[in-house]
Amino acid sequence: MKTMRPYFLLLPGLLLFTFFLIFPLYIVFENSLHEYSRLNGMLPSFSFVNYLKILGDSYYLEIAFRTINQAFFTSISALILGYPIALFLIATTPRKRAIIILFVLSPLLISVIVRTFGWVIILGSNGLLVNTFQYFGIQMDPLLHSKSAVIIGLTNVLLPFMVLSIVTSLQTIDPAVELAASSLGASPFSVFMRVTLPLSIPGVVSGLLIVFSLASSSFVTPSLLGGSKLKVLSGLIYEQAMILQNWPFADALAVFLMVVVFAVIYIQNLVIPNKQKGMVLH
Amino acid sequence: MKNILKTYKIKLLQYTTIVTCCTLLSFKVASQTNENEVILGGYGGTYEQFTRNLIMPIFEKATGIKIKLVVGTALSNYSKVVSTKNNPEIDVYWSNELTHVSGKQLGLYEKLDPKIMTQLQNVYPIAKDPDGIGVLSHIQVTGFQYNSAKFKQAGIPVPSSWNDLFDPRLKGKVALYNFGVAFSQDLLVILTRLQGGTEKDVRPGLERLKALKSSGNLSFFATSPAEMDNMLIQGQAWIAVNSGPRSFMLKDRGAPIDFAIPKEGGGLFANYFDIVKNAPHPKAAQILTNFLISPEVQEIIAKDVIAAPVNSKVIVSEALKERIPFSEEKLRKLIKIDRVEMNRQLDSWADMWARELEGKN
Repeated sequence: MKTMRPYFLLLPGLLLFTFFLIFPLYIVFENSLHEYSRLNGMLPSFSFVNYLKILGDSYYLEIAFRTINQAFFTSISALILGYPIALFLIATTPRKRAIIILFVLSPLLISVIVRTFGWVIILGSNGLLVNTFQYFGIQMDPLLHSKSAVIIGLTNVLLPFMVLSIVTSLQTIDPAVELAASSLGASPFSVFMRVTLPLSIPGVVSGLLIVFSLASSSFVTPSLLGGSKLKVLSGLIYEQAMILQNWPFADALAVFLMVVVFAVIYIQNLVIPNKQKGMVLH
Repeated sequence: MKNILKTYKIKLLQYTTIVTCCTLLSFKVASQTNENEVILGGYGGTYEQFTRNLIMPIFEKATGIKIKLVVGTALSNYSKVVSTKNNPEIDVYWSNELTHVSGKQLGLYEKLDPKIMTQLQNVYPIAKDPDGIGVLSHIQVTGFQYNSAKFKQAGIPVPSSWNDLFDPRLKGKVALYNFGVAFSQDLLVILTRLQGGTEKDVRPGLERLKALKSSGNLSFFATSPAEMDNMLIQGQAWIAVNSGPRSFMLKDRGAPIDFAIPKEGGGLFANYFDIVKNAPHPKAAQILTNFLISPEVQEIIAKDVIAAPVNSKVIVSEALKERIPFSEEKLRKLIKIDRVEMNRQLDSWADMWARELEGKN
């Protein structure tokens, strides 16, 4: 009985989790196994027709590929931009750290729709970007409604997750380790590549995980910045559920999205070594 | 050890009793709601403003019944009505033509009680539902929303026909909604009808739209009214297919936007008031719907939305009359779409649109 005591602490969280996550997910999955007709609503018969429709049609598979593709490039760009910021945050004074963190977190303080509309205006054909290039005499196509626009918008908002994740991991590295490495004759670049970077891998991996999952399920940003030509799974789910009222098919798409994202994350975990090699304890 | 077990058991018992009592109490309170309240599933934005500021106080004063407003879009509220079919949470649902027909098909709505709905006799025949289920709330026209300044600058006359969309001077300047917004759904039908087709097969309309795209005129699909407004005001698009009220709203705010109805006829776009079947407050729902089609409220709606009222006893200013299909004659000129057929085929139309029109580059 004594060993059961700690588990009681989990009970409220577990109940919440079950009611508000597991149970609705079960309903979504159960709904997806029904057929739907516009005239009769959801039919009580069980069938896999929704899943067969998704897997058998290149249109949906193309959309799924685009979703994963955009999420992947968003994670990479968040990593490239976020790692230097994380390194700076570790090395700098607490005051500067607070200011930088505020800047990095500021996208999260604004509503996603306001923020995305801001990008629509900046990247539009009359927007800041085009006008700036025009000032220097360079003619360019507006970036709006392209894959780049979506990745820019998503990176802007998901960057703090990557930065904070890497910062947390970098903070566990004892500075004495880096000092030891440089005192043994390693150049600063060598110290980074052979000591800091490998030890920060857990933070990088969890950052990539978070950014990837959030980017692949993001709705407002891809639909406003990508336009309807570059449809992603979340936009498709919305269209099927809210406009065409075909909830079973929308549920099947949602399950499909979940499975695909889980698969990619699983593969990522296999490929990137999560266990720190030779971690130094302090 | 036994003491610890006892404490846990007592605590568990206390917790469970409190939770059960609270749940039972809440049920008791819920079941006691009599007809002192009615829940209206309405729209946001300016609709919400005039509903809260004008309609709700007057109704409460006149009948003593409080209106609870659930804000959403026609589609999001419709999802609520469909999903809570067995235990509705909305009494009166402000629908659009498609969700009205779709809901009727699924048996979601209640018949109007002519004894309570005394205002029905003042309503135009065109605004009444043939089966007595639901009633129109107001009528808008689907036509051209265009940037009058850009048109003048380019020397293009005011658009007067649906075929003006194909004007080569409008290359890259035509914007349409994506299929999610009703006006594009209607456009598909209108273009089909102009080719001599019917709602049974909208391929002629789709081919016209594909031609519009391949000619380079159609460059942009907007996902929301706000996005469309932005495109037109910024001048990235010069013409769009949109509703009258939306265009006039921008015009009144000083934007160089105007509205034009093509000579072949604008599209008739209407909203409905529907009473949900097995609503929690059935009688109050009927009273509210009757109130919403009364001249007093219809005048508020007509002025605020800039649409035609359905009650013949409403007095409308001359300036407003110019902008709305006020007379029977104007209403007759509008293209009325077969919503039943549209409801039946909407899935396949959405599919065709997504794959052939928007999907292909």
